[in-house]
Amino acid sequence: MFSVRTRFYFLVLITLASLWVVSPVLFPVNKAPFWLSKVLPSKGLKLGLDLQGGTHLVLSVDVEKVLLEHVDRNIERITSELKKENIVLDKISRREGSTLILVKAAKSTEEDKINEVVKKSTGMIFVTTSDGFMQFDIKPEEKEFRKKNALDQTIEAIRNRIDEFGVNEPSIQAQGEDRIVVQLPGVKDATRAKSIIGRTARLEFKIVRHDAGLDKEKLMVLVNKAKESGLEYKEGTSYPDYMDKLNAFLSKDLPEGTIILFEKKVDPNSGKKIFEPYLLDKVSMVTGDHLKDAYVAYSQDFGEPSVSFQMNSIGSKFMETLTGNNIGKQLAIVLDSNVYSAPVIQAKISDSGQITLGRGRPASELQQEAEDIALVLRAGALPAQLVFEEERVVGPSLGSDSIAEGKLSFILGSLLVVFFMLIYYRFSGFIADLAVGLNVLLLVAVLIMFDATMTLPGIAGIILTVGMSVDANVLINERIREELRLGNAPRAALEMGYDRAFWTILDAHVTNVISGIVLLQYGTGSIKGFAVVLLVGIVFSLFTAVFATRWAFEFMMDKGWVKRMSI
Amino acid sequence: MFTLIKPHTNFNFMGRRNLWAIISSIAILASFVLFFTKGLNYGVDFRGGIEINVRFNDPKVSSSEIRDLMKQVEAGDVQVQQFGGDSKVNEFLIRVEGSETQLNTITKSIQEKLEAKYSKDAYEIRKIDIVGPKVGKELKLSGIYSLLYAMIGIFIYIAIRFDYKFAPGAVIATLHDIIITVAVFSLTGTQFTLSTVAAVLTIAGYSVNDTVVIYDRIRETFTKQKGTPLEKVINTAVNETLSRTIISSAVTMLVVVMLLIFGGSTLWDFSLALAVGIVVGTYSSIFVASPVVLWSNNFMERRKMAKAAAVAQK
Repeated sequence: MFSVRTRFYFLVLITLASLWVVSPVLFPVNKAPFWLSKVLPSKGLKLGLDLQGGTHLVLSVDVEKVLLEHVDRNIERITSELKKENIVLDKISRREGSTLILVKAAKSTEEDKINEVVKKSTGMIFVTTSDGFMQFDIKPEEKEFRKKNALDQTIEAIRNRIDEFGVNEPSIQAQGEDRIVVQLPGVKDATRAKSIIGRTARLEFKIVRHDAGLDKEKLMVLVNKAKESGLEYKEGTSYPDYMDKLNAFLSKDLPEGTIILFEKKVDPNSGKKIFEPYLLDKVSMVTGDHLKDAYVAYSQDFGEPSVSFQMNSIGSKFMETLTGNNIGKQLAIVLDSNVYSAPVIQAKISDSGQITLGRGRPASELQQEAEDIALVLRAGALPAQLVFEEERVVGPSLGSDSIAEGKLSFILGSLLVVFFMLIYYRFSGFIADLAVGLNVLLLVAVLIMFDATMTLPGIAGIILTVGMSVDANVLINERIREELRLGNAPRAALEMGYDRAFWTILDAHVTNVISGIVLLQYGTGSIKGFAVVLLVGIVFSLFTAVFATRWAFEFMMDKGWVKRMSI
Repeated sequence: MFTLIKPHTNFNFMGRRNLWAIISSIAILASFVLFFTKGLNYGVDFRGGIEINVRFNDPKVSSSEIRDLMKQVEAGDVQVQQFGGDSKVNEFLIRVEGSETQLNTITKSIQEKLEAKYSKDAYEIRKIDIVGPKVGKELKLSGIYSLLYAMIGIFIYIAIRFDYKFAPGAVIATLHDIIITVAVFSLTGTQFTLSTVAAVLTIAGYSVNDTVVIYDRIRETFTKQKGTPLEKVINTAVNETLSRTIISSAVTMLVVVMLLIFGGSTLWDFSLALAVGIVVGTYSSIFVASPVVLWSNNFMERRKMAKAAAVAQK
């Protein structure tokens, strides 16, 4: 093993090294003289949102719904493929709330062929037949893939939006299967940030239908029927959810493959909000996935803001087919289940269009909405709707107050401990104080090096580390005292004291490691920060108390500086 | 040499073990009565709902004034509570229950009402917490799970490192500390938050730490003095570690007391849990964990004898 002298120099070396790393926390490096600031690092301790202020959001993505929508598109695909093969179906539908497709063939002899078409066109697998219905489902691995994909896409879209919004060092991370944690340091206007992140921004183009003489009045009758049975939109709840429920309720009254959506208008005379219903194709042939650009434009007559967009080459092709086949009909421009306008198609449209925002609202509100819509269209749509599960906003003054209070109580507490140890254990107490100091120093240095975030519970973790470190030193010193009392020589008492105390200290530390690991595994957010500090602190507490102090004592005894134990 | 406890001190801790058992049982019973009658004041983390912390630069703004303003918000029940503050500033906590469904809209409405009545410089929103009911439930569950897994982990470690007759004592003592600490939260009506759970887990670690130190000594004394009855061994071990137990607890307490006094409102509940836990944890390692070793040892020996008797009869 290494000699006593080598170990002592190693101690001095790591102390200096960690002092170097920690220096930005100890004093403002940028104010130091030039030659010093050249040598010292500039990276300080990263502060959590609870200390520096900011917005912390937990969002959940409705990944199940993404799957259901995928199955709905598959049904369209299957129907058109079967038509090509001249196979007639009695019925095809998706089971409510599940990914199963139920297919009833007109002729049971064609079932094998249907099975083949479904497999080829969608990759869905045959499950079973019951009551004459063939059941198909998505492969389990494809389900997992699509769910994960939806989450990844959402994170990507949110990141793009936040980048456009302009936030320093945002953090966007997946949590579990369907959650996303967004941290925006320093953002005070949480409401605006939320509306930009939360907007689904799904742009769709749908042809307006007039089947079965269902005009606006008749549609209103249906909507009122739903209202009478309790289906009504309440301010503050999810609008797309309401639309889903309404359409599920009315599905029997509407022609196959159609849905109702509203255009929200303000009556210029009464100032009241009116919901104008449209009957539209359920599946959109053209969506905002193929957008090239979106920006705010102003109308020529009143200078009212609106959003203009341009399609990319693929989008243009889709758009040409859709508008070319439907000249004379109305094309509804739908954003997040809201019809924004429904102009009559005069001629083939290919690459650009406009979303008008309606009149009668304050100009500043319109301007901000136009900017936000253009931003989210540019940044990309979310594959699924978001639900805000948790939101925490910390103002900057609270954070700095917490730091000040945490620092003050930490310094006062440490001073008391230092004095107590000095009085009670004298020179050994002084060594113990140095050990506790080194423990904290090493802990903070490691936190800086690994870019760990310091949170309020993290500060508590440091304080707890001090407690543990002191305890280990007390254990050792009490043990040495006992050995001295038994009449052992200082050097022998020292070694026996350390050897005997070691296992006790190790056991005590391991039990704390167990609770630390459990906290890391099952804790959330800031609790995790506490666990990290605790775990790192435990390791260094063991090192400083059991090894560092011993090396120091041995070195000093070998040098003849310490002849008897002052303890 | 400064000594708190004179060497060769010998309190007869084990002789009165039935008394300690009665004291602890009464404390645990009282804790349960508290849980079921008064319950816990769950913070927004577990309850779900909204909590907004507003600070006014004008000490004349009263809580009834804010309460009246909040009556305009369309929500079932908006509570306004004053806390902290001095001659210059004034802080309020605006709380909305988690049973409300439109938390985002209500928050926006509360902010709008404040904006409409007061000028921008008159107040500052220090903190907003919105926790959906789903998350609240999850946080509660994850808190309970982490406690459970930590206990199991510690039980296994002690059973392996020491002897299975030691494990029940450590776990019982730890549960004892956790229950009483949580009961103090119920008694004082202090908010039970996510950081309280971290504190409770810390106490669990601390309590086991204390217990392990004594157990180590019991094991050591046991091997050194073969043949001495276990009761005497435990007494010696507890007495020999007494000064360490008291000094360590006192020193940690010094830091925690500083946290309580100067740590501010954000660290208050965490520090309170630690303070109570340290006191109870120190008590339990001497008066609960050690006697339980004796009991579980006697219990096992009786079973061994009964088994041996059964074998002999055959």
